[in-house]
Amino acid sequence: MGTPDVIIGSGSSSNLATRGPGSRPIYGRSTAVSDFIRRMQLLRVKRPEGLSSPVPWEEYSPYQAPIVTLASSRRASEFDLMLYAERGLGAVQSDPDASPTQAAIASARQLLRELIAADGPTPQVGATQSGSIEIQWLVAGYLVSVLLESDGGYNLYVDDPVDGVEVDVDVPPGSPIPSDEVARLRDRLAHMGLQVVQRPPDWTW
Amino acid sequence: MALEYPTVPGLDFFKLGRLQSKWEDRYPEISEQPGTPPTPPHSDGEVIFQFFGPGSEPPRRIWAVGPEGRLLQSQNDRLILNWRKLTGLEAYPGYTALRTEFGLAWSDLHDYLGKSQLPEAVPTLAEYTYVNAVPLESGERIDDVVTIVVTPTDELPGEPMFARFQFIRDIARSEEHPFDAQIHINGEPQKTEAGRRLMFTVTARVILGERSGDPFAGLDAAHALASHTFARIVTDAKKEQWGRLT
Repeated sequence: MGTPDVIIGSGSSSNLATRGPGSRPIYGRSTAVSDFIRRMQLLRVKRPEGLSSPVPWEEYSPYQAPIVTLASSRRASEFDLMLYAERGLGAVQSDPDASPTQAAIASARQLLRELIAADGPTPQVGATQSGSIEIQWLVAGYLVSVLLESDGGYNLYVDDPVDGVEVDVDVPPGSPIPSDEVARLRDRLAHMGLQVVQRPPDWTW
Repeated sequence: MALEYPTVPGLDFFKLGRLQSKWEDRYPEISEQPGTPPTPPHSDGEVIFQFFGPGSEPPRRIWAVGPEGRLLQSQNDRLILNWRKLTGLEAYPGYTALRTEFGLAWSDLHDYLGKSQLPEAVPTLAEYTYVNAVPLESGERIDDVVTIVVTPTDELPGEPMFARFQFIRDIARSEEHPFDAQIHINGEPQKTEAGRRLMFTVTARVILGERSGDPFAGLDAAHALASHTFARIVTDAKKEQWGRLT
């Protein structure tokens, strides 16, 4: 597996979850790529003095925002997180390089509705290399990612910094996530939410 | 009233100026204003600070002043229509008239982006706000105007220097409420040359979600929520005084 075609840096006006500066697509699904992103985050983000792990920007670190927000609280209501995700979805639909299908958008919304809960981690929604959608939650090395296909099916991927890949399943279009899997994912996201110490710098966009 | 959408790539300040020219007959007086960063989520009423990263510039906004207190504002991530009582003589045109006017402006924006080969504006949030400045007569307190703040019956030590209130409420989507929504109620008494007044706002924000293709359904819901909330928080005495018994 070669090095993914990726530049992580500052100054991008794009807030898309899976794109770097200049709207260059970052990646498609692969374990190696997810590992790479996590390692890059750990390398890129300096741990400020006096702060214990996790570092404040970790849930956001692959991306840079034009507007930076310093909020006094890490708290977020379900409304806040849904709005943030919807803004990401809207940005994907406005992105000339992306071409998400209605089936993919509908599936993304259904998943977001299933999985977003108050004070959970921030859902990053962006365009994939193939022009579809990825939803990603990333905190303290924990990664939950959903990569949507044009027919509304998706790949669900959960990576743990200690145990490695926990889930890597393809879900066909129209199939709900199995209820026990939903419960596990919600627990995982709730656990990740507890480790958020700061919302992303583009929390307002 | 406002519709927000993720920043449209390529819709810069100059292109916004060209868009404004479509409205110059009705909104002839234009000016540049500092833009507002996208509405920050702050459900717990936290204090937030914003600054602009390297290589980025603050958002810019165009104000276009029209007749009878109307103000049309455009930015690369939102379109806003306000009605303001400036001289005290303007009659409130009502939601239906303002909605129609806003609908035409939104349609113009949509057409303009298409003709300019710019990406579509995908609306994500509809917002409706009532801004109220209520004169406080001598001896009147905040709770003579709004029901959600109560002055303690026991006398407090000292003199009142400053007060402010803020309530934020989330409404989850349900059969009764077809949109996820949030209501913000903010207010503070102020001293002006004309005397004391209570300044308070009621804002309803609605996530459009699946109905981003029909943003005016969301705007209607935001208006209904803001009106309902306003009616619930104003005291009966004030409603009677204003002839707004609901």
